[in-house]
Amino acid sequence: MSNGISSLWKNEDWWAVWFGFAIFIATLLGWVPKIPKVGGWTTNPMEAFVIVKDGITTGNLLAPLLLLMIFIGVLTAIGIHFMKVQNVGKYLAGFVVIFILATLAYWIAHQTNVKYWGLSYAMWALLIGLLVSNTIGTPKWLKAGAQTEMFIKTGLVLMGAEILFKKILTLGAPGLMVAWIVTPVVVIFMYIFAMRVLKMKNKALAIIIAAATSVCGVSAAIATAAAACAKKEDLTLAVGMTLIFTVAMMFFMPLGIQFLGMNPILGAAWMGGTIDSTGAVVAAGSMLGPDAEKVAAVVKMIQNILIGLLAFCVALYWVTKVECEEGHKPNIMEIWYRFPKFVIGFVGASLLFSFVVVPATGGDFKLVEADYIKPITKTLRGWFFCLAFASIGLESNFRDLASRMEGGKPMVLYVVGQSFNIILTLAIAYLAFMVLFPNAVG
Amino acid sequence: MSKGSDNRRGRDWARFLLGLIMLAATVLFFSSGITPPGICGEVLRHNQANHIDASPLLYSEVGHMAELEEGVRQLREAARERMLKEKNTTAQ
Repeated sequence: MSNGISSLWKNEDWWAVWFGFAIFIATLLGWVPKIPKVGGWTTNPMEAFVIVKDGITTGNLLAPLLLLMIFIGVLTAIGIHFMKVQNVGKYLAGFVVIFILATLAYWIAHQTNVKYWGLSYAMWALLIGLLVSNTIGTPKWLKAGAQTEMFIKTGLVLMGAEILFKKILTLGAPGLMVAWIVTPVVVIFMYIFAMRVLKMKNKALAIIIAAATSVCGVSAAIATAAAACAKKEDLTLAVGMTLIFTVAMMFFMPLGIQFLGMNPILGAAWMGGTIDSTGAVVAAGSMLGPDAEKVAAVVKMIQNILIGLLAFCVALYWVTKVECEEGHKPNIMEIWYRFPKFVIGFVGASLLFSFVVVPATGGDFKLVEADYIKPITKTLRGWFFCLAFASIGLESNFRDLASRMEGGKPMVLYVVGQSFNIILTLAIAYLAFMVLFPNAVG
Repeated sequence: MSKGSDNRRGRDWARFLLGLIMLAATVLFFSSGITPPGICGEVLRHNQANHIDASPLLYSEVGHMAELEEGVRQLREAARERMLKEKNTTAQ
């Protein structure tokens, strides 16, 4: 890693910040059109590529998707050129195929019945990549396009715009209690359990699993993996585990709550604090009724906002403790040099949108979400993450994944951590919604 | 190219085809609308009946998140009004 002024154009972290903020500025100035995304379909696969306005087909998505591919390809190629990590021509050749694989992953994920199962694009992109790398092997020219770190970090900086701090007060004190007290306790408990009890050698994998379990699954896993400079295989393992358990929890938690005759609002807060992904939380909450759906989703949303803070703390801990020689205390400059700069971009984007952009529009964050975030930054962030997962799959192989299992310790960590999370969240949700603030909602 | 490496390449492509078939079968299964029988498929059937997309990873990906947030605000407002009414009744 270059440490001087040249790191501004040679360091991948800084490039993620430049890409992200260039997109933000262009978006706020109204220079970026609506970003295309693969549509939904039920029986006709071609429906996914049709543009429908007011029920009338007005065209197809092929040209917009091609333009998007060129836009992302050219933008990232600028960084590749300055960082000199790859020949630009070779990068672009690989990038085109990876973009096609990402589109395929989106196409599968957007099938109506697949969406009901809660199987996101991340899983399909990983599976497609893994299929190629573990059978015919990923050719060198394709690997050149798999710039996983750059895709993840740029996606994370863009994600910062979606983390609006004002939203943490939506549910008041009980919501904050469930989402913000339990989460750090579970992260710290799981990490200590992994190090002291399980004696896991892979610290990065331990913190990724802890973050995915306690915050919000895949998104938190990506953020902490990048902050802790984890290996791609670690992220693949953590994401695989969280996706499987999320579906299982979505299927059985609401049924268990109904069986126990628990108060639906309490049950909703419990599920919002424990089920990993927001979509699964909404589905499970909806089983308990419309009010429960709202409370569950909002508890999860408040928890989602912790991602930036968590990534920042993990990055700082890694720089000052984990990656340091024992007994050596790094000074401020050393910490600055080694600190992953994209985290600053991520947190900076969140602060920019929360405290500058939203107030500039009269405090109406719905307007900011509708005009800037949903049609542009969120969709672009999704594309960068999808490209990242396809790339991770293309660079991972089952042998490496198996070697990181340490005799099943990551699985034990997930199960123990999630069990602790379930018990603690129930206790705090009961305290918050039934004892301290029984009339807060409904 | 030697015969050995030709054979290995052939085996790799055969494994790829097999994997592709397995992936296609997985996609077909999940996209078919089949739900597990009994209690295991209850949530899935609920999602189908109410068109609930369970795949979003982050809150911003949920299509009707703004309505859900507004709903919570209304719930809190209603709870506050009810409490005030109860307080007034007790005071009277």
